[in-house]
Formats: sequence, structure tokens, C-alpha cells
Amino acid sequence: MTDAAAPLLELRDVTKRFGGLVAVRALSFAIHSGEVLGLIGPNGAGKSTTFNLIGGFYAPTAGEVLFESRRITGNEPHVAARMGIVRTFQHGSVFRDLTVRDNITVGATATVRGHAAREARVQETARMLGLEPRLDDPAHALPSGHQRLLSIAIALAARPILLCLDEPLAGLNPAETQEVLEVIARIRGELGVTVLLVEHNVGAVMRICDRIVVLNFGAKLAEGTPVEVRENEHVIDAYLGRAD
Amino acid sequence: MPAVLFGVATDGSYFGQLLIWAAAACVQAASLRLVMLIGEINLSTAGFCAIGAYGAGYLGSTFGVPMLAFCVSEVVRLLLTRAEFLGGNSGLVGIVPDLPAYAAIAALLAVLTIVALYIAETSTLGLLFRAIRNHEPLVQAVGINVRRVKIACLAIASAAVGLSGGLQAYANSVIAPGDFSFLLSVYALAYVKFGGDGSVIGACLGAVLLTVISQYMLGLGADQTILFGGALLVGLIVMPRGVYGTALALLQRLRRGGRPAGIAIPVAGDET
Repeated sequence: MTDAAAPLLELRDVTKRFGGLVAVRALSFAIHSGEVLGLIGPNGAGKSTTFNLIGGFYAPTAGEVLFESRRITGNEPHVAARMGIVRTFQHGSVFRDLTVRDNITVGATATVRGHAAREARVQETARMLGLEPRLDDPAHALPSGHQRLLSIAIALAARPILLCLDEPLAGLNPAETQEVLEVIARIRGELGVTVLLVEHNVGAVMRICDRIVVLNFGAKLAEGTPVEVRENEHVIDAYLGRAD
Repeated sequence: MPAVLFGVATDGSYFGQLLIWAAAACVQAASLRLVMLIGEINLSTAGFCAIGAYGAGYLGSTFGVPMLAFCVSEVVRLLLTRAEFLGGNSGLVGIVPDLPAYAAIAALLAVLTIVALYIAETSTLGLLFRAIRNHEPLVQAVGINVRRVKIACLAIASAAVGLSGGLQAYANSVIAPGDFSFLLSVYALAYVKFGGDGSVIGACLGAVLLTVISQYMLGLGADQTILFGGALLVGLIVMPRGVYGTALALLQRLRRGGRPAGIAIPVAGDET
């Protein structure tokens, strides 16, 4: 897709201020094509703000965001999405009143042209996430695990290059968690989609991510492989806690 | 208004007049409902209705342009009171159509417009309308320019309302800025809420019922604003699904009650 050296997405000294509050402070990190990157940190660390900055929902106060080496700072969300940055929202947000089929169709509307192609995209996405038997059910009737999968399906139907998942495991039971983790692995493995995820389930993050960025008070506390992050003194003090 | 009523009543085409009024009200209700699909309330009904009415009256054509909501209604009304060539405050007089034939054409136009609105609702665009009402950021996040979709929605709805204004202009044969006060926008809301905002049929049913009742009340010399206020309250408090929605629900319950429990149709939403 892009040349191997350049990262898929890069944040350079990004700062976001809301009045007197600095939500994200001079944050820099990169995501490389094909990896699964986890963004973790305590509540209020700036994870959601970072997500919104990448997706174009917020414009940074300072710094810039690059996607495929192009500057995308200040792009509107729909523009970012058409370039290939697609996100989900917390609590497995779906279109509650619409059927599963219509939910996924909305996901494909902007990025898949033509009725037949869109229909095919919906079928193929539903099949991949195991939602095919529920296509005609309204989204609000799905159990929470399926709703979570549907929220991922909506994003996936938009043909993302970078899929940003906002707390994809929150509130799920162990079986549902396992199911979503397998789906994420397949999204990367079979579709070659790069994944960025914000998640509080540290155990799951350690298992599925290639690299992890830890935020604290809006700034980067640590970055590295799961093993490196787990053994980082700062991370243990601020977030993970000591085992003793 | 009494003079108009008298004139109509004496030439025996009162039914034709009523038909046109009801047709215009149906279009207004259906159009407002389209805007409610995206989770918005459109208070510019009166403004676009006035544009349509004056357009029809003066140019013999109708059109609609998307603009801002409430202020549009009032700005248009105030402008019209200033416009001398449109008759100013006393209005434009003598837009006389050939009534019986016109009533039929008006009804047909209204039906075609409502069908067009229904097609818009069931199209991919309509799907986006409903998605926006459910979760606007999520629609943006998959690459859809929500602002443009909303403008499209308002443009379609406003064009339809403009047409209804044209219909009204001919039915009344006299139009004045006072006919298009902010209240007209509220009446449209009353049609939709009273009839039921769940479907086009509900909205149109509300429009027809309230038009007929209000004309009857007018004959008794009563103030029709009380009727619309009351209907709005009924729609909001007593029957949140409106007359049509409530009737449907009752029918369904009767039908289900008549069957042995074992064969009851599973309701979507059941989950084990």
C-alpha cells in the first residue's frame, strides 16, 4: 500500500486543549501498516480525545496528523473515513431502530458504489462476523455481544485501511470477549486491515496487540511491545499497579 | 375568511375547496415528517408555504429553496407585508382557478408528491435519514457527509411544502402574509403528532381529520388555534403514536388476543 518505511498513520506533537484543560499534550506516535496497536491508560488520560483527533471529530490545537504521509489535520470525519480511517464508538454503538442489514448498508453507502456491489459487501461482512442469520432483525433486539460485532461490521463495511475500535470489549462476558478478539485477529489476518484500539481490558490488549502506547494525563507514558510495557516501571506505577 | 366561505358555500363547491385544503395539509404533514426522520423539527413550513403560494399566485409556478428554519418563516412573512407589487398587507387578490377541475388536479398533485416523499423515505437516502436520527457521528464515521444529507432532506421537504402553498393559494383565491404566520408551522406539527409520526399514512390522516374538524369549528365561529393546540397535546400525551399508530396497535392486540397463545407471532425484540 505505502512504502514500508513510512508509517500508515503518524501523530506529530499533537496537542488538544479544551479551554484550560489540556486533554492531549504534545503526543507523538505512529501506526505501521498491518499492525494492531493498543492505546491504554487510566480514565481521563486522553485516549478518546486521541481517537477523535485521528478520526477528524476534533481538530488539534497544535501539531499534525499524517495518514499515508499526507497531512489530514482538520479534515472532517467523513473525509477521513473516505480516505480509509473508520472508527467505532463506545458501547458498541449501532443504529438501534434499523435492521442488521440496514446497519451494515449504511456503513457501505459512502465507500461502495452501486447497489449490487453494496449488497455483496453487506453479505460478505455479515458472513465474516457471523451476523448472517440476524440480517433482518432490528439492531436493538441483538444481545450485547452481537451488537458489538455489528458495530464492527458497520465500520468494516466502509472498507477501512485503518480501523479504530473504541473499547470493543467493554461490558462483554468472557465468551463474547473471546469472540470479538478472534474477529479482530481475522480482520488483520484475512483483510490486512490495520487496527488501533482503545481498551481497558489490559489482559486482552496484551494478548492481541503488537505494540502498545500508554497515555497518562494526556501525554505518552510509554510505548513498546506488550512485554516491554508490562515491565515498564512508570506504567506499573501509573496504571497497571504492582502485583504484591 | 367568512366571505370566502360564504362564496364557496353558495356556488356549491365547498367540498372541492375542502379537498384542496386537506390535500395541502397532507403534503405539509408528510413533508414535516420527512424532516422529523433526521431527528429535526422544521419550523420553516410556513415560510416555504408562503413562497409556494405567492409563487403560484404571482408567477403561476411553485418552487422551494432550503434555508434556515423559524426565521425564514417570519422573514418571508415580513418581507411580503412590505412588497407592494404582491399586494402588501392586504394580500394578493383574485387568483381564481376553475374550481371543480382544479380540486381534482390538486388532489392528484398532492398524492403524487406524497408518493414521491414516500419513495425518498424508503430509498438509500431515507435510510441515511433514519440512521442520522439514531447516531449522527456514526454516520459521519463511515464517510457520509451528514450536512449534505440533511440539506437534501430539508430541500425535498421544502419543495413539497412550496407546492402545498401553491395549492392553497388557488383554493383560497386570496392570499395574504397573515395566512403564513408561524402558526402554520405548528399546525403541520399538530397534523403529524395527532395522526401519528410513525408513517406517512398517520401524518396524512392527522392532516385530513384536523382540516375537516377545523373547518367545521370555523363554521360554528370557534377559534381553530384551540383545536390544533389540543390535538398537539393529545398527540404528545394521550396517544404518543397518534390516532393511526394507536389504532394499529389496538388492532394488533385484538388480533393477537383472538389467537391461541401458542401460535402468537414472535415479536421482534425477543431475545433469550
